[in-house]
Parts: sequence; structure tokens; C-alpha cells
Amino acid sequence: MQSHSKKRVSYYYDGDVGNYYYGQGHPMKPQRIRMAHNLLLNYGLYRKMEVFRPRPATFEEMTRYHSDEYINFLKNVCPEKMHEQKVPLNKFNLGEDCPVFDGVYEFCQLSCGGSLAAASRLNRNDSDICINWMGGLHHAKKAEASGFCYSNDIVLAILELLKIHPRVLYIDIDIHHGDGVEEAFYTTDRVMTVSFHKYGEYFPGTGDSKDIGADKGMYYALNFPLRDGIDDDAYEKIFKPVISRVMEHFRPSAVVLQCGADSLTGDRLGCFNLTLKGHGQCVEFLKSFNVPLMLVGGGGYTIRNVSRCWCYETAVAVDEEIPNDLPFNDYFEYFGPDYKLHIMPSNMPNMNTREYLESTMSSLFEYMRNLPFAPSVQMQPLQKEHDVVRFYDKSLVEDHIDPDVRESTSQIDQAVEHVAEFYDEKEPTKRLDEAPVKRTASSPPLEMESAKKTKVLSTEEPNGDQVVLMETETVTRTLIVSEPNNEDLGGDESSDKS
Amino acid sequence: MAGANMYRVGDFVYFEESSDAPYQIRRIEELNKTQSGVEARVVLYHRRRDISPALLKISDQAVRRFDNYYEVDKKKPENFSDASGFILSEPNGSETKPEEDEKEGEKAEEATEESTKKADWGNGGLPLGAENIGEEARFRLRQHELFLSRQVEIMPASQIRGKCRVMLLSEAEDVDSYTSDDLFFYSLVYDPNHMTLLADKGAIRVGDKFQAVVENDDENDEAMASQTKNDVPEMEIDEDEDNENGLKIDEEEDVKPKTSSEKKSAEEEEDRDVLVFKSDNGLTDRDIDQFIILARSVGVFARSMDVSSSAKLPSLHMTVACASRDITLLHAIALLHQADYDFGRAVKFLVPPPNRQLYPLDIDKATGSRTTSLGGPLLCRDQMEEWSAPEANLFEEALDKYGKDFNDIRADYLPWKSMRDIVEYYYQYKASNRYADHKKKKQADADSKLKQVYIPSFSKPSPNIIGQLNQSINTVKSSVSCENCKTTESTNWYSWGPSSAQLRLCQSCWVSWKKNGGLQRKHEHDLYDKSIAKTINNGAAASESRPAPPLISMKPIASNVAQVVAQLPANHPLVLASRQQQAAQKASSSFSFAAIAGLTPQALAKLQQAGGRPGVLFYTTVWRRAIRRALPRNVLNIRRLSRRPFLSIDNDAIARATATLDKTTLLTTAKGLQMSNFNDAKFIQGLYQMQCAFSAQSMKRSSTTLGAHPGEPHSKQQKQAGAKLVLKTRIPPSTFKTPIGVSTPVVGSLHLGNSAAQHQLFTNMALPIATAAAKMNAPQSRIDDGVTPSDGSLLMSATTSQNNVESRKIPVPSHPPSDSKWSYISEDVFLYLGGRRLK
Repeated sequence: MQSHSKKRVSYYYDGDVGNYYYGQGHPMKPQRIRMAHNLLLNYGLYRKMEVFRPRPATFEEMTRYHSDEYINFLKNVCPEKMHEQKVPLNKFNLGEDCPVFDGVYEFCQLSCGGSLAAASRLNRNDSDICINWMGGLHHAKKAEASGFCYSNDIVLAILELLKIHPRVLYIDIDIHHGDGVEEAFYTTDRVMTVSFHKYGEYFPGTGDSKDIGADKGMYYALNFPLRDGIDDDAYEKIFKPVISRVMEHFRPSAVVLQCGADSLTGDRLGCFNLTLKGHGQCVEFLKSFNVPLMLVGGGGYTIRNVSRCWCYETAVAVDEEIPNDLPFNDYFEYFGPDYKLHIMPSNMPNMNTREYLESTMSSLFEYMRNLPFAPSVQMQPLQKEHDVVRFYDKSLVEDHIDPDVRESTSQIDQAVEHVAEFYDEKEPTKRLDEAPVKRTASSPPLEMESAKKTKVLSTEEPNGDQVVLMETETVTRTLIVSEPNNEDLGGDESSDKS
Repeated sequence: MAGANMYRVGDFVYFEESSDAPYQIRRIEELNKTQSGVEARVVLYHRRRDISPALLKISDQAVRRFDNYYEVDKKKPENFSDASGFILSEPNGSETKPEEDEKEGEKAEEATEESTKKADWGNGGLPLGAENIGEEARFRLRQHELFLSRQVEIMPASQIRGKCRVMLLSEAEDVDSYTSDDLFFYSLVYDPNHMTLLADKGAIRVGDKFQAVVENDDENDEAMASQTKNDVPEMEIDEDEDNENGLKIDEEEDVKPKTSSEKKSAEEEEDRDVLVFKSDNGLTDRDIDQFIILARSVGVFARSMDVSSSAKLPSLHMTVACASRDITLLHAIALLHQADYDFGRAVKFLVPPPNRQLYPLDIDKATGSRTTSLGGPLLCRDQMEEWSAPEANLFEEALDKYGKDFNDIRADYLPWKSMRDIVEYYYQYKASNRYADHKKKKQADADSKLKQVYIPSFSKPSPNIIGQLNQSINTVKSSVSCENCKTTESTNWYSWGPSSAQLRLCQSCWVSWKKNGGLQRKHEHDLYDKSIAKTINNGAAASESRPAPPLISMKPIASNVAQVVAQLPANHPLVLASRQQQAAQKASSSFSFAAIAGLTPQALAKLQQAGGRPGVLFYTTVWRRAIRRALPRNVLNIRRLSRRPFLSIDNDAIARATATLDKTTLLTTAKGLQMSNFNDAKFIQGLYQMQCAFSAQSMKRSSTTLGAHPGEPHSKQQKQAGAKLVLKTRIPPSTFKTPIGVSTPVVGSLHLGNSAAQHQLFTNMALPIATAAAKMNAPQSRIDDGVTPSDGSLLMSATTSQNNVESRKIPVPSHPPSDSKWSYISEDVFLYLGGRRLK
């Protein structure tokens, strides 16, 4: 159904994300996402994909999974007052590994916003692969932070995907067990979680191969415990058979791949021996199934290798060969002394014997035998509601922003007015004095009586909404331009404005 | 092969602590270079022989094939029992019969006897297929079973005797995978303090509190439909709250007709993202490259026009480098997108006219960077360029002082910068030449931690060898056959077993005994080394060459990790013994602590002169703590002062305030210190005396102020003291530290003993109080040598105090205090406030 063989790739990034700082000596550095971004920018990968800036996730969106109490706490917690509220901090497991840092809530909003936006894009079938390196925080629990993760963007994204997709597969190649996601979907058969991780005296302590899910979700959680020093070859030998078997049995209609880069060799916290090639192979392999795929980040604590890895995997996603010599960029010095893209494996011994891997794999296969063979999934017709996009006048918000505070890019973003408003003569002049219209200028507005009868229905609003129908490549989308003062706006929307 | 003798962090190694005993198995956590050699911080792995047979019996019998790997919320498994521990097993497991629980105490002794006969009691902890192997093979397999402990000790690396491998037992592998030499396995964690064996497993929790709500697929549509129906009333309520002007009814009618599709769309929130760049834009790669070059050229032009930039960038070369930074690239791409990928328009955007109204450039907003339009070329700069040279210097200085604590750096050095600016600058700075130069200077500090160490093969003969070490391959006949393999020929012979028995082992059996901690078969003298150790301990404890290494307990990896597999009943004699031991340890450590705390300054000075390590003693006396609490913030704000080490403390004000404190404040202070078992009377008495001392002091001071020429006579003395201080602070800051909050560092040896009487008063009072305080704090006390990296707060406080000490070196000699108040400092005040006066 695609016009070109290459995948349509969307990439989510917010320029602010690199500026969050977990604290002195903390291994988690959001800076790595910015470094990956700058690398792929200078490699020119930018030009091969759609680049988006996500809107920060709202409180309501985050509480679709997380408890209100927990998110409320994150929202209101203040690093300066941390010592005054010791008890609740412990309650949500904040403190040691998960410090309350300046802007922690915004950081969660960005990572969740990216994954949610990516999920809805996949839902609308606007992209084949969506990438959000800001996400992948797989340890966060429903009402608890854990392992440097505060909000579980993956769970939120999967919940979003489940609105359209009957079954979603989650694969985790972080060195740590993806316990947060596994726990969230432990009792459902609509999400299968597969995690490859180091096990034994290692965070978070869960992820035994015997751990297979509960109730309805029995056999819908797979865990591959590994030992130190696994290398590319061995990893490939287990990843491909396990995943192809899972794809056969479970038949997911969407896949989320957590690409935690702490499974790379030389990671500050990790103890595997993978190179970019072995790690990227997982992305390549999943791409070959032609199922909507979402790539999220995750761990990774040797930031030069993390950014290398995610840049390389972006290149894999867009099917682009990139040279081994790194292009010059702001953070070039981080990549010394060789300034190459690819990294060499270390000489550490691989404690995973072939026998161990094979016997573990066969025990996993044994579990999979219990899965009912899922019926093949038909491509579902898009739900019409998803094509309706609403825009409101956000100028009020802008007017009330404190001028002394540096605006976050997302706020700034909302303020962007399209230049076409001023320059496009083809635009009917009448619209200029109304609320700004957001759309792709290349596609001319269609007549109302175009074939989409169903959508015309939604235009018959009593309050005089204007409707513009637009034809894009694959999806027909309706834009409803609302007057700023429409009284029928949803409750949350109107509070958003004031 | 050099690799064999190269030991790295993370390797499993044999340690030889005593020549009689088998090797100990440890994992290297850290290698530190010290004066005496290389010290290894190692994690302990216990052999079976190190663990009480009673405990082993329980764990062996426990069926460790967990069927339920998850924890259901708030529901304890049925076979949970406090007495004999919590054995996760099948419900019909006969091992956990209640009768057995009761008898457990008696059985312990039985078990000890049994242990000499039997290898083990069950298959627990053995790999798959262990039930099918013979008794002897199983016995040997059991020798390879280890128990991890969460304890760390420090050992000299010279005791390392070779490498081995330790693996977590996998339930998927069978016996054959575990039978090779030098390969050990473990599955449980041993906690010697509580005498328990824990399964090192976390559990996924099941319950409403943990799972996400997922609708069922087949009921999907129905569920959704019903959900929307349910949602409608909620929405209405929301709107009622929003509009309180009585128009509800009309609205409701408005809302209802369009329900599902409309409302869902609002819910879906499709405006989740903003396009920043699109791929099918009609421009070729070359077009984009060309545009980027244009943007850079304009950037160079803009920088040459901008005064603040051109001043900073002396050469054209550097200007070009700055104009080629990523910000220009990002900016150019954003411009292209804004211009709808119209090359011509995008070029115009690069050089907008001064009036922004004409060119609606919201690019800065899109990229988050600030641009300046100079009435021609557009200038956009990142933080690296934005910062002025003084700002950069300030930042470097702050970085040296605070480390990477950007919150503090911002508060104290660069309050006009935002946190984001600072973080962005820091990472760019790290990639700059400036940082490379800076780093070279600091390189030397980081050398003490080693990544790996080369230890040559150990070739000294064991003291247990009989006769001379025979290095040839010729075998020697022995009159007594090898206790293990019954051979009579070997290259070397080693005495083994209690000396009365006169037993010996051949070369190969000796090696395997050392490594495996047992012979091929069960032997009555298997544990002979333990009894030897015991007799030595009992006989002449003083002659022990090396004190037991300090054990440092680690915290478990995750809080929910532990599942107790085997536990001795609380009244078990072994548990009681271990408790007693702990209590004794606590007592002894508190004793030594008290001894140190009670030292007079002179004694401490002597101790230092004798070459002892402590150069600086960090400790907070009860007095100092009381002062901190009792004084109002505006007089003494410790937090503020600790951030500003160059600020002198107004000791007059402190002394005055202390003298005028009323007793109720003192009492509340005393209570506030949360020392429940503290003798109130003594404390108050101490404070009262202190108060007297202070008031006397301030009286005396005011008289001297009048009499003497301010500053003159005292500044000399001060100078001398300063010189002495510098001398002392050069000694590396000691690692000794009380755990009481943020301790103000005190240079222990410093004492201006000019007033003998007062000094007497001070020591008389300080001794009992400090001793008492130390006793109370001792249980928490620890040697600060091994601050774990994860322990951020501790590390931080340690480094800040170090920084304080270092920064003090500079100001003292170069700026003799001109401030007159320096001359009045009494030793009491000085001792309270620790090193503060040095500034």
C-alpha cells in the first residue's frame, strides 16, 4: 500500500530535553539525547524523515496509567523543599536513584508527550516508524519512580496504540529488565512483553525466565535472563529466533522497541559487550516485519556511545548508509580519540555459554507453545474520529506568560504563526483576521462536497465552525477551526486557555 | 598469557587469608592504590562450609522452583510462617509441616551432627538433573555451591591466588554445565546478621495498584461505547463547575447531540505534535547544503557586525568556527521550514530588515534560541558563545569548588543565568579546548583508582608443605598415602588436618582442597581449619597478625528484592549468638569512637606527630549542635555559611546571642536533638557552663577592646596560628567523620592554649558530653573510606568539606585578618565553629 519502499519515519525531539540535569554524579544524562540529535542532524538524516516536536503530555494523559496522587506529587514537588517532605518522597521512591531535580515534571511531560504523539501518529497510519529517543523510561511504576524513571511513557504509548491495535508487542533490549512495562501489562493478553536483560544481582532484580505473566496475561510476558559479556553474535542468535517465534504466535499489529543503550560495550553501568551493529540489528530485524514500529530510548550511561547508537539506529530506520567518520558537531570532542561512529567490542569474556543460551531459549519456546495462535490481523479501517483535529486560539496563554522566564520550546511552539498567513495570496483574505490555521500549505483546500460524506456530517455544527478538508498522501483529515470563544469546548480545553 | 595474571574490577578471584584454610572466593569491586600496595574492595561469597548446617538444611529442602513469580497485592502466600521462615514451595511440599517448625530448634544440633555424615538434605539450589547423580558426584557439586553476601571487605591484593568463575544458577541448565573446575554457582544471598538465606529475586506485583487498565479486545467496541456513555455525565459536571452563570441547561442540550465522535476527538488530542521539518519538501540535498553554507556565511557577517562578538573573536578563523556551530544549522533548517521550503524566501529570512513586523520571523521560538536581527544579517548564538569571558571564568571556578552541582553554582555564582543555560553551557564547555586544558591540571588526582592490576603468580611455598619445595617434576614417595586419592607419589606433600592426626595431601589434591574447600569424599576433618582458628582465637587473641577486615554491608539492589527462603527461628541459638556478636561489635566500635572523641587536643596532636593518619578530624560536638539549634537563623545560618566559605563569621554576635539565650530555648534545643536516652541534666548543665564561659568571654573582650589598640597585638598571634594551620591542612583530610549532619571541619590539633583555666573548663565539660554523644552516634558511624558512589549525598558532603579545607589554604597566609574581630576569638568559640575562623 505504500508508494515507496522506504519507510515513512517520524522523529520526535524537543530542543529542551538536553537541558535537564539529574544532579551531580548521577549517571542518567538527558544530554545524550541532544548529542544523538546533533549527530544525526550533521549526518543529514534530518532530511530523510519528518521531524516533530511533541506537545508536552498533559496531566490527564499521564494519569491514564499513573495514579493521580503520584503525578500530582511530581507536578508540585520542588527540589528546594525536598528535605521538608521526606515521608512522601519515600512513598514514591523518590530520592536516591530518582532525585527530584529542577523541572522533573516537564521532563516527564516531554518524554511522555513524544511517545504519545508517536503512538497516535502510528494509529493514524501516518508513519511506519516513529522514533522518540526521549522516551523509553521502562522502570517507572504506576505510583512509584524507579531506576531513573519517573513516568512510564512506554505504557502510555502502548495504551494509546491499543485504541486501534488489538495486540501490541513490547520488546526491551535495555540491559535492565523492563519491569515497569511488564508489570503494567502483566495480566493482559493484548500486550506481550519480551525483555532481554542481565539477570542476577542486578537492578531491578526481576525478570527470571520463569516469570511469564498472570491471569489472562499468563504466557504474555517473556524474559530472557542473560549473563555478563554477551556479544553481537550470541545476541543475534537468541534475538532473532525468539522474536520471530513471538511474531508468529502473537501476531502483533504494532511493535514498541525499547532501545536502551546500556547493553552496549563499555557502558558505565552495563556489563554486556554489544556494539552498535549488534544493537542496531534488532531494529533492522523488527523493521523487516512491516509492522508499525515505535523506537524509544531508555538506559545508556556512557553518553558518547548512547548518542552513537541512537544516531545509527535512526539511520537504520530511514535506510540510510552513514559513513563511519563522525561529522563535525558541537560535541565532537566527546567522541575522541577515534571520532568514529562504530565502537569495538572489549575483550571481556562472554559468560553466556552456548548451552545456557540454547536451553534458556528452548524453555521460552516451551512457554510460547501455550499461546493460542492469534488469528491474522486485518488492517483495520481508520476510525474517523482520529481524523478530526481541533485548534484553539492560544494567544491568551501567550499573553499571560511571564516575560522574565525563558519560554520552553513547546510553549514557544504554540505561539508559532504560520508565515503563509501573511504571504500566501491564494489564501482567502477573510481567514486572516480569524484564528490561525495550522496546515500543510502545499495541499490546497478542497471543496466541502468532496467524497468524504462522513466528515461533512461533523461540519454541521450549530456554532458555525468552519471546516476545511484536506487531502494528504494517505489520510484525509478534517480541520475544524474553532472560534476562540466557542462555548462548547471541553472543560479541560477551556481551562487550558485561561 | 599475561591476561591470566591481570585482575580487573569485576573478576572473581581466590583469596588466601590463611594457609590452612581453603581459598576464599571474592569478587573485586574496586582496586585502590595505597601506600602499602594495592587494596581490593571485594564482595564476599560464602561456601557451604561457612554457613550453619541448620540453615543449609532448610534451604536444601525448600523447593525453589517458584511457581508464582509475582506477588499479589496484599495477600500473603498460605504457607507463610514466621518460625521457620518463608519457603516458597508447592502447597503440598512436605518440608514445611508445622510440627517440624516447632522442633527446628532442637534439630539444629542434630543437623550439625548429621552434616558430618551427609552431603546435603535435598536438591534445593542444585542444577537441573541433580537428583540423578550419585552421592559422591553430588557431594562434589555441593562444594561448588556458594552463597552471595551483601558484604564487602577490604583485602590486600597480594593475597589474590587466581581467578575463578561464579555464576547465578540457571534453572534451565543441567548439571553438566556446572561441573568444570574453578566454576562456582550461587542462587541465594546469605545474610549473616539475621541468619537468613534470601532469594535474590524481585517480584512483579499484581493488583489494581500496579497494572494499567486495558480493555478486552473482543469487548473493545462495547466497552468503548459504554465508556463514552459513562463519560458524558462527568463531562457535564465539569462544565457546570466551569460556568457558574446558570446557563447549564442550554449547554447540556448543546453538548448531548454530538457526543461520541466530537468528544472522542477532543480526547484523542491529535494536536500532539508540531512539524519541524518534512522530508518530501521538493528541495534536493544539495539545495539544503547550499542554504546551510549561506546561513553560515551570514553568521560570519553578523558576528563581524556585532560588537560583543567581534570583541571576543580575534581572528576570522574563529569567527567562522563559531558561525559553523550546530545552532546555525538548526536555525537554517527551521528557517527553511518556515519559508515553506522556498529557497528564495528562506534566503530573505536570513537577512531580515530591522523591523520585525515586516518579517514575521518566529524562528527563534521554533529553535528555542535567541537571535538578534542587526538590520541585516541574522545573528544566532548558542550558550557557548553567549557567555562572556568573565562568566566562563566564574563558571570554571565554581565547577572546581562545587563540582557539578549546578544548583549551587547558579545560586552562588551565576544567578542571572537560568539552570538550562548553565547545563547547556556545561556540556558545550566540556567539548571545548578550554575544558581540555582545565582537565589536564586535574588529571593527577584521579590516579589512585585502578582499573586492573597485575599480580604475578604466587610461587612462595605454602607453610603447610612438608620438606623442601620440589620444583622438579620428579615425584617424591611418601610413607603416608594421600588422604584423598591414596597415592603415595607426588611432587610435593602438604600436611593437612589437625596436627595430631599427621595427615597429608598430594599436590593435586591439595590444590583442589584449597579451591573447592573439601575433599572428594566426606571426611571427618573437613572443617579442621575452623577448629584451629577457634583455638587460636581462644588461646591468644592478641597474637593475631591481622584484625578481621571491616565488613561493610551493602544495601540490597532493589527494595522489593528479598524473598526469604530459609530462616532460622528467632529463638535458635545461632541467631541469638549472632545478635550478641553484633551487640558486642557495636559496643566495641562505640568504645573506640568515644576514645577518639574524648581525646584532648594535645593528645590528638601527639597522635598526629606520631605519624598517624588523621590530619583533620571532622566531628560535631554536642555543644556545636546545640549552638546551631539554639541560635536564631539571623545570627548563625550554617547553610548559608557553608556556601560562602570566604565569609567570616560574626563571632561576637554568636557569643552575645549564646550568652543571652534563655533556659527554655536551651531545653527545647536539647529535646530537639532527639536524644531520648540523653541525660537531660548533664546536657543542660553543660550548656549552662558554656553560657557562663561565653558571657565571661564577651565581658573580657569588651574590656580588651577598650584597652588595647584594636587588632595590633593579636594579629601577629593570628598570623602564627594561620601558618600553623596551613601546615596542618596540608595533611590530607582525614577520612574520619561522624555521621552527624553536615559537620563543620575542625583542625584537631589546633589549640591556642592561652587560657589554661578556660581550657580546663572546656575539656572537663566536653569530655563527658562528647563521649556520650559519640556513644549514641556510634551505631551509625562508619569509616568513611568506602563511600559508595551511589551514596550521593554522603559523597557530596565529603567533597564539599574537602573543598572547604583546600580553599582555606589560600586566604590565611595571604590575607592576614585585618578585621579587628578576629583578634577576639576565644578558643571556645573557635572550637565550636571549627575551621571557620581560618578565613
